[in-house]
Amino acid sequence: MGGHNVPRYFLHLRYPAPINGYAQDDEGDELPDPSQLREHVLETARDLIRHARMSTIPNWFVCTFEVTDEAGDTVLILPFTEAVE
Amino acid sequence: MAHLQQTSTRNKLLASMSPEDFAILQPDLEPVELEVRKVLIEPNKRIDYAYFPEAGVSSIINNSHDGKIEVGIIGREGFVGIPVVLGTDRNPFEYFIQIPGHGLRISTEALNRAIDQSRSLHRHFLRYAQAKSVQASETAFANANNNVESRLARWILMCHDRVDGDEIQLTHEFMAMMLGVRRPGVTTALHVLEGNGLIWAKRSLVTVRDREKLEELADDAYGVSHAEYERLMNGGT
Repeated sequence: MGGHNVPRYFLHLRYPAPINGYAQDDEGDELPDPSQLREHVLETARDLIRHARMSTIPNWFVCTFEVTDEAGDTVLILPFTEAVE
Repeated sequence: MAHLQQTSTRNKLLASMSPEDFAILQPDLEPVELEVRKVLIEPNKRIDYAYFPEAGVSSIINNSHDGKIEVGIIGREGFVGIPVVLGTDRNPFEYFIQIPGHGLRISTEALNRAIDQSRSLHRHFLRYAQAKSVQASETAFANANNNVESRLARWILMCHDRVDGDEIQLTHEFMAMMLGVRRPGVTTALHVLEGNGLIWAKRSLVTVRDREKLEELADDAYGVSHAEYERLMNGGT
């Protein structure tokens, strides 16, 4: 899946649930240009808001993406409310 | 293939036709490996072979500028090549292997000769084409009517019907493409299904744990095409 030099980011989803509302991303997305990370995550959030009708998540705007890099460090926390600003 | 016996093939379409019709096809069937991501039919290109999977699963994919979305699924219950038996040699969609396996193939020319020769053989393929058409309509219904969790349950069931055992090996990225949602939507839906005891989800491995509950969740987006296939192909009218 791509070269070793391309950074990979993992988009974990925090969502409201009685227990364990955290969907861990083990696959991640390769982003050749790390400065595009925020735009990539925003775009992913917008696409989910528009197209992903889920019974677990009646309202995407209460969800948050917690993004980590390959070292496991959190590099971005993006509430879905920011996707419409 | 001189030694291929109808009783030994695991493709249900070949196994369920009359011995006379199988005998017409038999000399022209050759074994083929179905490697993952192998393209069987390219969009708008001449179809050279029809494929009868014995193991593995093929997807029919609509390629648009927005990306790829799965519009159909074919395994050992069917064959890849419906356009041929409907009288044409091309179609707008891509057919490729999503779960690797093996099967038998026949050239388009030989298949055309065979259905010209036997009305009952042609009818057998047409009945499968009807079952496949019902599946496509059911997919359209599911996409319009059902949420991601339910569509994922339906899709897992359709794969489960076509593999040996309870394990389905696919990345979330791939399932996201199949269902037409972004990967985090699939990851979250798998997380929910696992939390409710329907599956085990470990990285790119889904293990079916409770088929009955999956069927409940898929609701009326799953059972119709399954029942219609049984009626058409296994002794219905």
